[in-house]
Amino acid sequence: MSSKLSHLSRREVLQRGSLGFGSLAFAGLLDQEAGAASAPHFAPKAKNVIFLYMDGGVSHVDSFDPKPLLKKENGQKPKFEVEATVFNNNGNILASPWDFKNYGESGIPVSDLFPHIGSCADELCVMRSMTAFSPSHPNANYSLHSGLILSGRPSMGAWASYGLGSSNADLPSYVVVHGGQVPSGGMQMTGEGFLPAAHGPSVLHPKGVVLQNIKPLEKQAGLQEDKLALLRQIDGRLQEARPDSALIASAVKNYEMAFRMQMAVPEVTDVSKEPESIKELYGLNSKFDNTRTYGAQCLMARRLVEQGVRFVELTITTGNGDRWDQHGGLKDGHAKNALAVDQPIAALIKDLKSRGLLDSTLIVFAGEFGRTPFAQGTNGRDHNPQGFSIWMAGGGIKGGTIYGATDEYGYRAIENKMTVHDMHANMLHLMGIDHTKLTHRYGGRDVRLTDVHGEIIPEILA
Amino acid sequence: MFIRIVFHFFFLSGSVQAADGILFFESKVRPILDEHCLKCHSEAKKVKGGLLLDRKAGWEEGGDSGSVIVPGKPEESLLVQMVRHEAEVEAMPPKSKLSDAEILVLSEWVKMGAPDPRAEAIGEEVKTSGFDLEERMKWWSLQPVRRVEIPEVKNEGWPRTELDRFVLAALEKKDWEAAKEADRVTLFRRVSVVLTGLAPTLDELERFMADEGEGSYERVVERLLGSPHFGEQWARHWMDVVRYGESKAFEQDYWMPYTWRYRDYLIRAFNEDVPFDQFVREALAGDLLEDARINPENGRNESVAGPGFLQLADGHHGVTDLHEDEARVIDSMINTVGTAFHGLTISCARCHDHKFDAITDEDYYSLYGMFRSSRLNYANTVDTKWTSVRGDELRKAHGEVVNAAFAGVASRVGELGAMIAAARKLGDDKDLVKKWQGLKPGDHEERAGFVGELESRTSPQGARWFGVLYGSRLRPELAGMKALINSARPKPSQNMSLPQREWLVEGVGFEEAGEGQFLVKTNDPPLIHGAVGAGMVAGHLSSRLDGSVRSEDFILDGEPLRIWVKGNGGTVSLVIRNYELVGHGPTTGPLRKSVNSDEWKLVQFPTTLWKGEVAFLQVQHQGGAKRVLRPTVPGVSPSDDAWVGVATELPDWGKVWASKGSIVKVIQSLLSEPVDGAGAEVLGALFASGLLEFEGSGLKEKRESLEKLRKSIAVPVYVRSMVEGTSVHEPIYIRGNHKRPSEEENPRRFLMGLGGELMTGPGSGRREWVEHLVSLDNPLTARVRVNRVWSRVFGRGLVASVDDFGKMGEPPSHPELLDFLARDFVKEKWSIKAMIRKMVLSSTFRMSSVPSYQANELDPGNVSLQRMSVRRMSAESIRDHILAGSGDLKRDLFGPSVLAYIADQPNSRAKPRNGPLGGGGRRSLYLASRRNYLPSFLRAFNSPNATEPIGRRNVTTVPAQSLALLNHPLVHQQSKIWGERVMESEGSDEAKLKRLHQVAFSREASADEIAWGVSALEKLTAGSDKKGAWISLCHIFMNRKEFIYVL
Repeated sequence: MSSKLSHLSRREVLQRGSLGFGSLAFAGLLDQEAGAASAPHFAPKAKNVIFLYMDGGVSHVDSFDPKPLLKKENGQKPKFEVEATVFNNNGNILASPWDFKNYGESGIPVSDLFPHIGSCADELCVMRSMTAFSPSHPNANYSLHSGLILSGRPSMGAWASYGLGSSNADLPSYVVVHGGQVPSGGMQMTGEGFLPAAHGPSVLHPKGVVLQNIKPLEKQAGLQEDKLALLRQIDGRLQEARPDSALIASAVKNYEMAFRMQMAVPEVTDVSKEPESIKELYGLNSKFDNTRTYGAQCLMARRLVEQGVRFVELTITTGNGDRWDQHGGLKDGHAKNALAVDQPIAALIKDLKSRGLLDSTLIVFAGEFGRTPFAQGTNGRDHNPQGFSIWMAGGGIKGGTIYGATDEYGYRAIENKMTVHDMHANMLHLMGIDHTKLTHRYGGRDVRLTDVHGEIIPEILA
Repeated sequence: MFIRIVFHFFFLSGSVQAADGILFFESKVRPILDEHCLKCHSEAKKVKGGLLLDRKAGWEEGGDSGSVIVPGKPEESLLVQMVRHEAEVEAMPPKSKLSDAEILVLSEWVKMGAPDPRAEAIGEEVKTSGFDLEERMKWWSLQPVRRVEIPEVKNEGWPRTELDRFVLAALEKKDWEAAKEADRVTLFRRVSVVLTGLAPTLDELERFMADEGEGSYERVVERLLGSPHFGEQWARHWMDVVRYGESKAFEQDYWMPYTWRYRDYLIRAFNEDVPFDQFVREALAGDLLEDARINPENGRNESVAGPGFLQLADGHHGVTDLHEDEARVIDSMINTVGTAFHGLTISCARCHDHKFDAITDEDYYSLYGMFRSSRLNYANTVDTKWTSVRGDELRKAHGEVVNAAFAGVASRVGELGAMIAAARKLGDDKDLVKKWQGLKPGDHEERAGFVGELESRTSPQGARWFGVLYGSRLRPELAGMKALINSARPKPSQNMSLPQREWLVEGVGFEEAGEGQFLVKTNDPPLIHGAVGAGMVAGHLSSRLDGSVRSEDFILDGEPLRIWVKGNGGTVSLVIRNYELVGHGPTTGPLRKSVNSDEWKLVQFPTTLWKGEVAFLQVQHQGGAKRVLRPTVPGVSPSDDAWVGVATELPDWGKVWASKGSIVKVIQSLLSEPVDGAGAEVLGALFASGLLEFEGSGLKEKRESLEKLRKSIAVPVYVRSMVEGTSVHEPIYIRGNHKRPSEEENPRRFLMGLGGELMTGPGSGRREWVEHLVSLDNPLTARVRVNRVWSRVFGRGLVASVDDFGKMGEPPSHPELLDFLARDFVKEKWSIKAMIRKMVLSSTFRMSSVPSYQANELDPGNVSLQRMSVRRMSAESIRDHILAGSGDLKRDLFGPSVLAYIADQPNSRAKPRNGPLGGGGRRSLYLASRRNYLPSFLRAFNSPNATEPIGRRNVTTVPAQSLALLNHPLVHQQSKIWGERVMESEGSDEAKLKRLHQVAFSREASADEIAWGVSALEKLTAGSDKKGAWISLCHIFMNRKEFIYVL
């Protein structure tokens, strides 16, 4: 039940008893569980993280890892040993339908799927040697989020909240801005697992009601305030009668916080008052519905980190095509998905940069795995956990770099192979957390996000 | 493999910083030494060749052959040469060779200068070598439960029970006093919520208020212990511990039908106070008990439902490595059993011996073997004793129908000859035959017209004869018949790859087909549907006699596997590595087939992807009702037309036709002489094709009495349970890697830290394991259980980490009390109710929750039990209390889960149908527990994620809870219902306010509260009307802290 990070501060509270009696010390205990901010292990490079979750698995050989050999051997039987795939419908080598261009001073190649992101190439550190623990969506999704292929484990966002707490008392520390596509394995992969509930995600929606239970249902103006005033009155009497109960004190206090959240959450997520130029930048006027939705998500993400929300994860949109999971129809499916996210993501990078926030905001772009260099059927690609690309930008990342490599087909990572543990370790590192020290006692172990693995990669750090 | 070596080369050729040397040693070198070298080269085990590799000083000093490592120079280092198995040096390890990658790591390590942080001198004990079983076995929770003295106390007037003396003695040691007794109304609400999860009803409150006599509290306790809601509350607690969930999570969130029956089983078990040792026996071996517990009301087998929790792991259909998935599922079982009954984190020993506790990896894989030797089974709980009492009667009635049908045909064999002759005459009309053979499957109208014409020219039966004699395709059993007319002699394919196996039979439904079992169909003609020849058959006597047959385990050789099946509503599957979801997913989809055919079908399973894996074949009668379902499927139920036959070989029915003169003669001899399997098949096919439709005398009556008998058998009632499979010992998976099994046998045994007795009996070993578990020598089982009960009654366990009695858990706050209770529990015949009764009748339980000044200062968590703690209701109780307040709560017990309200959750392909907002008024434990769509309102108040066992919930106080109580549509709906009911109820505003307080808080309102209520009403009415004001006030009541907090 205890966070190692907060141990000292809690003991201080208990010893000093600054307010004089133990019940408040116990209230301190409760607050810890609810997510009081604690000091990081060392000075952070990134105060906030925005995790752009590319649900379904972006094809790396069609985006950030060009493989000319595929063109040469297009249509031929793979000359390498093929691992078990989910659909066991393995075809021949499939050339990328997209061309690559070198962008920026760094000359990082990016395919025509992502021209906008390409224009930010000098901010990116592309990691081409990522690997996943499983070729199946749910397992890979779970491990991308929690380090383990099991469901019900705490996600990286929950760990970040657990380690650092919130820096804004009116807002949750960990937010998922949900584009509508429920990932394979369910939304609980973004959950807090066995960590205290306070570290679970607040799932915000770019359309409709922004957060579960955030909107008062009273139709009559002022009614909720009246109720709350009456409630305060009568609860106050209980509190007077039971000054000893920290539990009751804390529950009463939460109504104040809840009321403030009712104001703050709609406020921070309301993108309608942003200037027209910003809306245009993010693609809010796009003809493509999914671009508008994802643009709003990215803009919400910026507003949230501006307000001190620690960890923001974006899931992708739904309604026009499937996730990045093109077992068939690669060209059409990937093009639609890219159209939805390319402009908004580039806008996010540029907007954060122009506000001076990019240095303190880590952006991570990752799917649960890549896709095979050979076809599934004739025009799709199956899952490839053996090697694929992710990228990071912003807070503490060395922009304009490429790290690691896959083999000449893009099938296996062969140089500087990375796992999700390494990804998590570096993300926590940039947030000022030593990943080996962020632990929670569960099932007889001091459990870590990175299990017993994870290595800091100096080459990607600024 | 090649690529992997290349990778290592890349990795290692990079410049390695000095500080990274230690990291390299720890992450790469130490595991190799530990695994391959230290068994023979460590102080703790053996010192072969005079060489120690468990410390730096060891290899520095070298062994009998001198220096083994020359730092920086792998080529000159003996150790490297030895592991490379170079010529002229001794090969190490002697019996196996390290992998190329491992050898590379060692030589790179030497090249780096052999950085090694292990600083122990020769002769010094190595601290990290770690696992000393005897030392570990000294841990407090593994010591025998002591016989403890009841402590003396100063304040003799306070204790009511022996347990109070332990609590008070500890307080007196600190010079503390116990809190004073809570007032009787507070206590009343507290004990009601603790025992049943429900606050008292108005009626219960009134009765309690009226009963002020001596022993009124004791009477309340007895009433609550006898309440059916007691079982609901304590079942819910246990559901947490066994990670109860009704669906599989992952992508599709398949739901597991009948899981709710396990919940109902728990409710009954707690209400009936099944002794805990019996409960444990049922949990691990309920399917194996000689004397199953039979429900006296309906005769159903209760015990067989006990193992229902074992198979509740999550799972998915896109698995590429079924062995890995099996390891995941079995880990979930081991983790749950270890946590629930042993209070140990056994699953920590999956990759290595436990880091802290007396648990070895042998222990882990011993349990693994036990569960791998067991299989998932949908068991029919309908008492099987029925068949022994009335089986003969059924068989007789069945035989009479068959005989009467045969006699009917035999008596009219002349007619039959004429009919066939007429059909053959029609067949002389070549155009007619051509037209008949030209009909396509879709030509329904033409076919009907044609048949009508034929019927008018002969008879319905005659038309059928024409149809089969001149049809383009004939069922195989009858194929030889054509040979009697023309020269075509088709023979059925007899391709059979599966060797004859011994079948493991479960249930009473399956019988050997022997010389032929005739099936009498339930519905109208054809009377005899088909005979079932070689192999096994179920459902022929009655579809309600249930069962499954499974083969022993075998290894797949990559060749397709074929087996013959026929029947209706059955399934046949190839179960690889106990994988439940065969029939789903891209690769495993083809591994389950529905059996829906009167004719034998050859089912073929591809196995190339799983060559070398362990598998078994499974044929399930009523298999259609024994499978996981898509989230939106409402449910499945057994069918009254189900039957299934399975055979590894088919008889040669061509022989039947070849040996005799004419069709009629063949039929005549089949009817008059005892038939063999082939004859039975042919006869059955003739009936099934409608060719022998003659009404025998008395047939109708005989059929009716058979049907009556069949209907007198209860429809199967399934639970998910276990059944024994092939008994195996599982090797240890080195470092948890299923692809690296140890070479040594790992015989099944009980936990080594508790004696490690070998399990030598037949079967999976579950039956033996459970006896060790409930043995009085086992110090954990009773301790863990009473501690769980204590934690539910008092809000905190004597061991606060209720799921972990190991070193990483918390030590007991009152160790003597724990042992006293554990002994007492066993003495009271493991009665949970007796234990709870003692606890709630204690002075400790009756204390007020107001702490002393000192205790509040020094013991805010109330470890010392100076008072009772203020507690928040559980998520389920909060929702139940809201429904009780409004008057919508239904207090019915049992039944299928009601769909949860999930309209507030995102859409996905795994989303089930939405349920009603109020859940139909059912208590929260009846809401569907679909893992991908758990009810959000409950989750806000810390209901568990239904995936991991959890004996102690996090109880957090977060703003999301305030938001839920302020803005969740359920709360608004219930406020409205409640407010309207209050508005319509009789009495003055004051009287209504009084009642509101009684319902919400189980106590009288103070004058002050009435005054507040009146003014609140006034204020709220000003903004709307009186009804609206009451609705708002009820909403406020639900948000008052006392509504969900128990003082």
